[in-house]
Amino acid sequence: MYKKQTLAIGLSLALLASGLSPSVSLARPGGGSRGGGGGSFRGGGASPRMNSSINLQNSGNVRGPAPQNRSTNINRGNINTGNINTGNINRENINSGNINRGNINTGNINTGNINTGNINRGNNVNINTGDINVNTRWYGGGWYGRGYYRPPGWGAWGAAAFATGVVIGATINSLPPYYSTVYVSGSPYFYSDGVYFTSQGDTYVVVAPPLGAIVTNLPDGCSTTQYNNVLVYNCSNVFYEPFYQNGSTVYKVVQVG
Amino acid sequence: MFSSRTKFTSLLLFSAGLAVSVALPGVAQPAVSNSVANPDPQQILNQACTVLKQQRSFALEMDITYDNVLDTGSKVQYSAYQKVWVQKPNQLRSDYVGDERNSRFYYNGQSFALESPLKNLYATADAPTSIDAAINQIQQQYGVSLPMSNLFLSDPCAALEDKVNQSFFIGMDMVNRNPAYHLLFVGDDRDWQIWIQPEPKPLPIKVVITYKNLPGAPQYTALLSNWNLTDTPFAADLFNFKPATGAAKIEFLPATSSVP
Repeated sequence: MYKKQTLAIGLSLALLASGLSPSVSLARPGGGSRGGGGGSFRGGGASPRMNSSINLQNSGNVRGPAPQNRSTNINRGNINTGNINTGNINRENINSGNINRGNINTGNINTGNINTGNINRGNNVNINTGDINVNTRWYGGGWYGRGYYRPPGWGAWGAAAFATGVVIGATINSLPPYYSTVYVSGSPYFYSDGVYFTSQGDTYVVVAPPLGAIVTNLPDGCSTTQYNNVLVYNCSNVFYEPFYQNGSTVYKVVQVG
Repeated sequence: MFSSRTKFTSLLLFSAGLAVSVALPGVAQPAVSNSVANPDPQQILNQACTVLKQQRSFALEMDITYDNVLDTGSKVQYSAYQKVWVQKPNQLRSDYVGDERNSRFYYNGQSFALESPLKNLYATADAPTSIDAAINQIQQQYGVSLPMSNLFLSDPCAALEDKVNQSFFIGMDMVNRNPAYHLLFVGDDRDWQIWIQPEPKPLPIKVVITYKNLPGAPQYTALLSNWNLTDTPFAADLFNFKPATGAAKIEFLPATSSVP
């Protein structure tokens, strides 16, 4: 009976937000990412949110490898350096394929836009032509400059913990139901559905996406774009470059905002 | 190789506390047969290894399950399957489809490629000129490892027995409803079991690796099937990577320490 009800309603946001059924959010959190562009059930279908302290995925040999030779890190493919975006409130925007260089965008309020395929180079004034405005909800922790949209994957937990929004500086007492720990320059960050936290005493604080962070899954709804022949994922203005690490795809924050 | 050469009959092994060691006969054991009287685990393994060592071209499939240990300490099982083509001395191909990744590996004696067909991504890099060297270097440098690649080396037994402290014959035990030689090899950080079919050729049909020193003692299991030992070399196209339409080239990050 209970199951029928949840099936009938499906994964409607209303249900998730209502807090009626935490089991729904556990079973399929908010249309979860399948590793950035996955989604097929022909493999790559495991929930990337389950954080394993031990993962044998890259194992399977009787004899282990010889000691690792570490070489230097590769830092490349940064996009949108030198932007100053101040006071923008971009709500529910999905900006795909934008490459913005040297722009200074101040005081803009953009609501509900989806900007696709723009390339703005060296302009001090943005000219947004060819914008497509579609009312589509962002399903990851979309970034709007001063905080994130609450990821539906957080379900009832998110609704309760962030009733007033996932803004920078907001604190919570416990981390989201699914998260992983990433280190940037030795500092730990907690990553969940596109949203980043740091710890502060006994609480956790919402912070902007840290440049250089490497995550194993992207939030839903990212789009791809090419920059100087390098593919990057635009996740609501958080740009990730994909790499292979230990045989799996990982995603590095190369530009924010 | 540090096998204790300790032997158990399957009966004795299952009788707790009754382990009795039997001295190793100084003479070679007879060829693999259906007899279970004091089989020598090393010898059975060697026979399977010899088949693989002498085979220039072979292909097989694997059905894989493995454990991950969550932060909470709970153990969960994931699955995958892999098809492998081996063309000695310098060509190798793996198509891997799993819960956590979906990737293809190409090695043609000069370079290798890793491809993610679902994401339409790939990366390539130079590689050494032999399968043995390539497997080692690619794993060291990029952390890319192929499940059961120990079996693809020029001398599989040397690799398998590298860090074995003890070996046991467990019994003629079933794999997919058929009896097989069930062997246990004990190492420092992992124990592994292998099931070797008695006929038509002694080949491994199941492997279980237990990472006994890790919390939760997670296991990696592979069922090996559809062994294709062929005298005809595989087509070169199988090992030469060609990017799919619209595929994006990405880079490798250096390997980080992980569970071997």
